Amino acid sequence: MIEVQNVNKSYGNTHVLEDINLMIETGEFVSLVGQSGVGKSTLIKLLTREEIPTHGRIYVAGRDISELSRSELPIYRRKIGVIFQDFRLLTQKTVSENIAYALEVCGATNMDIKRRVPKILELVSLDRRSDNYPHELSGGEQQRVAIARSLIHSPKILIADEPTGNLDPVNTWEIIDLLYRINQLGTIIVLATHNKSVVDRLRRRVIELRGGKIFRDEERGSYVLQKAAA
Amino acid sequence: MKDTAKRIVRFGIQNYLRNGWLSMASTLMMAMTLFIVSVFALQLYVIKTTTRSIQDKLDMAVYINDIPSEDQVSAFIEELKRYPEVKEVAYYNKEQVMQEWNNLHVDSKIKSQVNAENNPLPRTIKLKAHDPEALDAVANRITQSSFSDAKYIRNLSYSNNRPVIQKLIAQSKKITQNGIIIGAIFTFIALLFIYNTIRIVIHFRQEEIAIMKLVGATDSFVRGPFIIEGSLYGILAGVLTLIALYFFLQNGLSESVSTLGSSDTVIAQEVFQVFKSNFPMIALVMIGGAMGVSIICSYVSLHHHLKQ
Repeated sequence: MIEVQNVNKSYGNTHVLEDINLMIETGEFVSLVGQSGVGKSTLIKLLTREEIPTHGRIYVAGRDISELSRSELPIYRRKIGVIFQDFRLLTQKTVSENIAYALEVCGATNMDIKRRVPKILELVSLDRRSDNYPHELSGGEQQRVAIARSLIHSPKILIADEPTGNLDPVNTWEIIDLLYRINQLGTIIVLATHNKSVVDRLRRRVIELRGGKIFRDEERGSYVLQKAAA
Repeated sequence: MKDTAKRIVRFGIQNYLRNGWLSMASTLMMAMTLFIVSVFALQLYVIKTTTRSIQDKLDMAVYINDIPSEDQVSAFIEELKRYPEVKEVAYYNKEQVMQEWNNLHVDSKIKSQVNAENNPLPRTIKLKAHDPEALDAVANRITQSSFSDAKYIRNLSYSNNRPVIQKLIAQSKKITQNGIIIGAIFTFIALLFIYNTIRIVIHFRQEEIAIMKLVGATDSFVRGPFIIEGSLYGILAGVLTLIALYFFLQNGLSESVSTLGSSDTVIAQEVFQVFKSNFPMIALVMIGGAMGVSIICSYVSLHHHLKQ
């Protein structure tokens, strides 16, 4: 589903990513770990096509995403879900408007929007907060809105960049639980995180970046390399 | 398609309303800029009317001695009317000239020197040119005419007034020219000011633009509401400026505008009259112009953010 081939990314003389090769299949839950500045966010940005590799190719569903035209890019973005540490909600729109926006951009009918938005809000347990503005919600609730928004198109891939970075442990687990359930429905989850306990408890595929390179890629890994197991 | 257009309009209005203070501050900023430019434009108008009225007063009088017959004078008038530079010709015979003399506030002793039996006042032809500058050429033609050769002309007022007229023409030309140059600079500054205001509004919202794109909005879906919002700034700023101008011109303040161009307060009232009678046109130009400028500014400012 996602194939990263010999990808390099540099900004001027600074090499952020070097020789990245990856293959992620449908249904996988991948945790991307590593210290700050190792290139996790850059890799995420390459996947969301906010950035283009300096060298190499990234295929998603068989299509080289570097070659997407300006008009194809919005269509690609609608097919992947993305969530961030800072939630990135439209602050001037209410919860339901934020989610409806993702449908409005692709020309969904008003009837369709009216039908789908409450359903997705129910899924993330925010049906009672639909008329609130983002600043009236807790961090965990805001992240749930962001997840609901990213799920509205039933994406095959959900990319999460430090989604629990701003959350307390209870909210963190609520979000991870939600991501886990989404993954169970068949959606690929790519989770960039610093949270050791999350990664250790998930016991799913772990890719660790060090110095812009893939340091390890384990089927059922933990946050740090376990020497005993290695 | 229809749904999308409706959504874009709705988002535009919603953004304007929900951005509260930022929208209001930007609208006021634009309105103030428009107001200053309008007052300046009015001032230019006042200057132009004043110089035009001065130029309109510039004329030339041909004083004719008693030798030629009325027929000869009529023929000369016909000749004058054929000069391409001449706009108006008015003839005053001896009786009319005397009447004018009698209307003058002069000492009665002197006045009594002139009567129907003893009238030394010359018959007079008054001429106006289409362009006051052409008076020079008209004067030349007259001195070269056969009427002049026959020594029927006693005097030509232009020969006395020439330096004053030339100076007035040069001055009024200079004032108009300066007005246009300063006006152009002023308009340019105003445009920069409006552009900057809109740029700031959009800069404040660059995060929002990035989110919209990330959610899969096309460039035109992101741009649309900003364009609507921009036109709202233009419309509201235009309306505010018109209201402010109305009161500004209606009240005594208008005198201060006119005194900058001329000390004639009648002009202030005239400007207000002109403003009132041309209101639909002025409103259309003001609102349309403000709207156009803010739409273009929004488009240009957005371009940079959409490219990212």
